Amino acid sequence: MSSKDPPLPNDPSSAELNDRLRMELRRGSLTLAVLVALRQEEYAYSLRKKLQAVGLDIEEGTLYPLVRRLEGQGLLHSQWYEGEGRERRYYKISALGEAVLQALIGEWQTITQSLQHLLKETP
Amino acid sequence: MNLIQRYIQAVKIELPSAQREDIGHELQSTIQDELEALAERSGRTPSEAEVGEHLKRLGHPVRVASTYWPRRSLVGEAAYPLYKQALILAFSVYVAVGVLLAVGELGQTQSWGLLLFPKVLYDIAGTVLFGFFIITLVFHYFGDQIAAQPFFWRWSPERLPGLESLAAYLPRAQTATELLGNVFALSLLGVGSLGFRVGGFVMDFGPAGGALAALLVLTLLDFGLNLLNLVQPYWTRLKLTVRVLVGLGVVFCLVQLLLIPQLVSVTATPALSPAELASINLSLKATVGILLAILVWTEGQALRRLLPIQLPWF
Repeated sequence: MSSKDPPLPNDPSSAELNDRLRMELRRGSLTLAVLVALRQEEYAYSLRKKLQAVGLDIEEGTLYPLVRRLEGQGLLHSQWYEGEGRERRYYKISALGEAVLQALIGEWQTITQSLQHLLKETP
Repeated sequence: MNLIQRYIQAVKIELPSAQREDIGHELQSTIQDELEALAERSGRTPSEAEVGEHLKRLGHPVRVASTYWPRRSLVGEAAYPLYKQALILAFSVYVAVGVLLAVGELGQTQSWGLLLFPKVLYDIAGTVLFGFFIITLVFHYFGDQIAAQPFFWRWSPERLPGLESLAAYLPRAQTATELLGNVFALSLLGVGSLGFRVGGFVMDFGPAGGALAALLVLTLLDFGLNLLNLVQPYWTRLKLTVRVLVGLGVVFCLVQLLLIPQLVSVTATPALSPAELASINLSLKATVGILLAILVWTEGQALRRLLPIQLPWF
């Protein structure tokens, strides 16, 4: 097989490619999921559990920095609260975050509908 | 100090200083939440080994801290095409200026010759590395602002070179290498023209003087052509014609050198035997012969590739 041929389905590099493409696909949707989940106030660990419960198992190393970045962009706001013997930082979507979320949901729905049309046309 | 505190401290060291305490505090709170969940599942307090395992699963402190940094690459994606162009342009200028300075030095120094070439290479490598550092630093901090400038907007299809084939394109790295080759050739020709003298050992290329002078002029012409190629990195019919004429001239001169019965005369104390002198002449002629073969082969290949292409005139 020459180096230009595409990887075969049982090729280890094919599994790697699948993983990478799946990650890329998920990465874009992750912001959307976090913004939706944070319509209710959550702290980092409870947010992770909440997403896990609906089938979105996201690594700590991905989720926690993402939440901080969204806060830095003004899409979330946060506050430290004391409870159960220690402080926790609680996050909630901001007004700007809600506006961005609406736009993202519209975009996501358009993409989903377009993909469904394509899948119907080319089964 | 327990394992969690040690881990948090190690992460904090690598965090942006403005957020160090805040992120560290939150990370500690989150780790405690995770360990409490682990304790609930197992019905007991996690052992130190289990805490250690959990921390290992979270990742090395440097990797964890790196996820909190806003930028994970030296140069952002948007700025990268400009960064690459800036590097190519700067390197071309550095090499051209370095080579020009070296040629200037060649004209002034008497005892130069082959020793100058490593010095030129060293100077150019040092300047190029320093330039790489400065350009990367500028693009690291100001890349986004630079990428927002309309550098790629001011262009028109009419001003693009009319290249029918990419074979006519001349990579600047290749041109820079050829320029260094020119300097090396000029060093050798300088030795040939002035003679080589170490103590009482003198090599005189007197009989080859005419051919060497002609080679010197042809190398300078090729050097000028290569400088032009740095600015205009593609072949035109005019440039190819000049290159072919220079190549033919070089071939003619090298053949002339091969035809000279005694290429060099040597004065040494004690005097060399005729056999030793013949051996030196044979070595030099073999070198000239190899150079000639390489030149004919590489230029022939280039011509075979370029001649079928419809090149622009200028």
